Amino acid sequence: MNTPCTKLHLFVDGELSATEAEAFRHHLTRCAECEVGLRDLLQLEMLASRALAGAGTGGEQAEHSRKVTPLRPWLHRAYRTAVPVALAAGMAAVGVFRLQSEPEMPGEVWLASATERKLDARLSHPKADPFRPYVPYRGTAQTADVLPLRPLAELEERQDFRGIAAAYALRGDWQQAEAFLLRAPDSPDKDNDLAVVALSRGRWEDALGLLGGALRREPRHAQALWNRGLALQGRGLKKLAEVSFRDAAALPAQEEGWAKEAETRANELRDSLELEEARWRTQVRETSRRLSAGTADLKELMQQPALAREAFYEAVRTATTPGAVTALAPLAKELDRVGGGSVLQDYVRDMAARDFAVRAPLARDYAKLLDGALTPGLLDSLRRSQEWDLYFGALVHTGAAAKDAEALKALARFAHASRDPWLTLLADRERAWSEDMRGRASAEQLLLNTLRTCEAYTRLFNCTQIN
Amino acid sequence: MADLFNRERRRFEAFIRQHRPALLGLARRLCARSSLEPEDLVQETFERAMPEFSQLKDRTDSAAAAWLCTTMTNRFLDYCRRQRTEVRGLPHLALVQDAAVSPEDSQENWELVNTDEFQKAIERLKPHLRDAYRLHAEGRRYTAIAEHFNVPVGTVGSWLTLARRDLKELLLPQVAVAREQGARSS
Repeated sequence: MNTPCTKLHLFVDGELSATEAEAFRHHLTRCAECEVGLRDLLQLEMLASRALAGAGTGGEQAEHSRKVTPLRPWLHRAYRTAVPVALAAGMAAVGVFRLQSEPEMPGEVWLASATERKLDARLSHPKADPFRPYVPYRGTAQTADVLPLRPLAELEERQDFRGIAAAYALRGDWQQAEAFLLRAPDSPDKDNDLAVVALSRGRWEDALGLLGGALRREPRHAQALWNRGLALQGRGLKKLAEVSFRDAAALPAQEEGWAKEAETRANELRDSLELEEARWRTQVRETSRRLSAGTADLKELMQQPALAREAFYEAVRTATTPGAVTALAPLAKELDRVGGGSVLQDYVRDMAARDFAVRAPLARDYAKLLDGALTPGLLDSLRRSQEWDLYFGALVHTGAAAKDAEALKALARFAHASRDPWLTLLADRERAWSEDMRGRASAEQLLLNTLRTCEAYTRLFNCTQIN
Repeated sequence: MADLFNRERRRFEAFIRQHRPALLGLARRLCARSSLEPEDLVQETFERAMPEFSQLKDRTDSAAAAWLCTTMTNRFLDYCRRQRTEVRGLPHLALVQDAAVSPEDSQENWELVNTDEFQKAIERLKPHLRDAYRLHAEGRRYTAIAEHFNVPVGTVGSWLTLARRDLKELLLPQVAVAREQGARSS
C-alpha cells in the first residue's frame, strides 16, 4: 500500500523530494485524516523538540546580544488593526519577531571535543581552527561523526556559510562544504576555504590560484600561508612549500601548536629536499664516472633517460681530452633520438673542438666541485674563460646565480643559445630563485610554468629538480 | 504606563525566544522544498500570538507551545490551500487576516503533556526506537540515522513511525488522567 497518507511522516520530516512534497501538500488540503494526523504529529514533534533538544532556550534569553530586524510594513499595518492600540504601540516599536538571539553553537558542530585532527589543511572559521595534532585518515575519508542539522539551520539563518562549510569539511563532506562556501560573500577567508576543498581533491594548482588571491589581499593570512605550503608540497614545489610554512610559523599571536607544526613541516621539507638532492647528485656522479671510464652500458643507461642526460652533461664537462668528449657521442645520439633534435650531438661536436689546453684544467676544477671541493676563484675563472657550459654547470651547482644578476643573465644566455630545453628549464628555475623574485607570487608562477613544461617531456628530465 | 508596556514587551520577547527554536525547527521541515520561508511561517505565528499574549502568558509552557504549534499548523495549511487554489493575487494583508485561529482537539490533548512526562515516556520505548527518535530529534536526517545504525533508510522511517505511535500510546492515557483530574478540581 502506498497511498499519499503513508507519506505523512516522511513529509513532516522533510524527507520527500520536491515533487513528492508538493503532491503531498495538495493531498493534505483534501484529506481530513492527514490533516488530523499532521496536527497530532506536529504537536508530538514540538514536545519532543522542547524535551530532547533543549529547545527551551529561555535561560539564555536577555543577556545575549541580538539583532532585531524591523517588522515589514505590511505586518505593522496588520498589527495596528488587530492589536489594542496601546499594546501595539509598545510592541510594534520593538520590531519584535525576527529576534535573532545568537546562542552559542554546540562545539560539536566543529568537532570541539576531538583530541586530534584528521584534516591536514586549515579552515578559516575560528571554531574550526583550534590546534590539534594531525593524525591522517586511515581507510575512509569520512568521519563517523554525523552532523547535527539543527545548529546548521541556525548558522544558515545567521548566514554563517563558512561555519556550515567548515562543519561539513571537517567531516569530509566536500561537496556540501563547497556548496555553502559558494554562498558566502567574497573574502580571503572564503578563498582560503575553497582552496581547502580544492586540496581535498588534489587540485593543487586551483588551490594555489585561490590562495594567491587570498594572500594578495591579506599577506599574513595564517591559514592561507599554511594551505599554500600544502598545495605547493602537493604540486612538488617543496622548496617554496618550505618557505610558506616558515612564513606561517613566524606569524605572531598564534597558537603555539600551529607555529611548532609549521616549523616542523618546514624542517621536514628542507631535510627531505636535501636528502633527495644528495641522492640524485650521487647517482649522477656515479653514472658520469662510469661514462667517463667507458664502463657504462648504453642500453641500461637509457632505461633512465633523465639520469643518463644529467650524467652525460657532467661527463662532457669533466672530460679533459677531445677524445673523452667524442666517446660520449653514442649516448648523445641516443638521448637526442628520444628527445628529438640534435642538441646533445651538437654539444659533443662543439666541445670536442674546444682548446683543451685551456679547458682541461678548468674541467679538472669542475670535477673537484662536483666532489664537494670548490677551487677558490673558479667561478670567475670560468666566467672569463668562455667555457660557458662549465660556467653554467658551476653556477647551477653552487646556486651562485641566485645572488648575482649578471651571472643569472649569462646563465639564461647560454641556455637560450644551446637550444637545449633542459638547460632553459634550469635557467628558469634559477631565475625563480633569484633574490629579485624570492618569495614573490611571480616566482611561484614561473616555477609552476617551468614544472609544467618539464612534465610535458615525459621522463626525459628529472622534474623534481625544478623546485 | 510606559513601564507596563516595557515589561510586557520584555515578556513577549522572552516568550518568543523560548519557543522560537522549536517552532523554527518544525517550520523548516514543513517548508522543505516549498516556496514558503520557514522564518515567515514562524513570524506569522508570533504575529498571531501577540494579541493573545495577555492570555498565553499565564498558561503553562506546554499549553503555550501547543497553542503556537496549532497556530503554525493552521498557517501552514492555509498556505497549502492557497497554493492549491492558486489564489496568489491576493494581497498579503488579506491573507494575514483570514482564517481565525481556533484551538483543536489535538492541541487540547497535547497541552496537558509536559516535557518531564515526555522524557519518561521516551525512556520506555524499545532501545532502537528510542535511540533513533533521539537522533531524529537532534535534527539528523534519515540517511544519517541509517548510517548510524547500519540499516536501510526505509527502516529508519518505520522505526520513527513506530516510536511516535508508542509515544502517543504512552502519553495519551496520561492526558486522560490529567483531564479527569482537571474536571474534578474544577
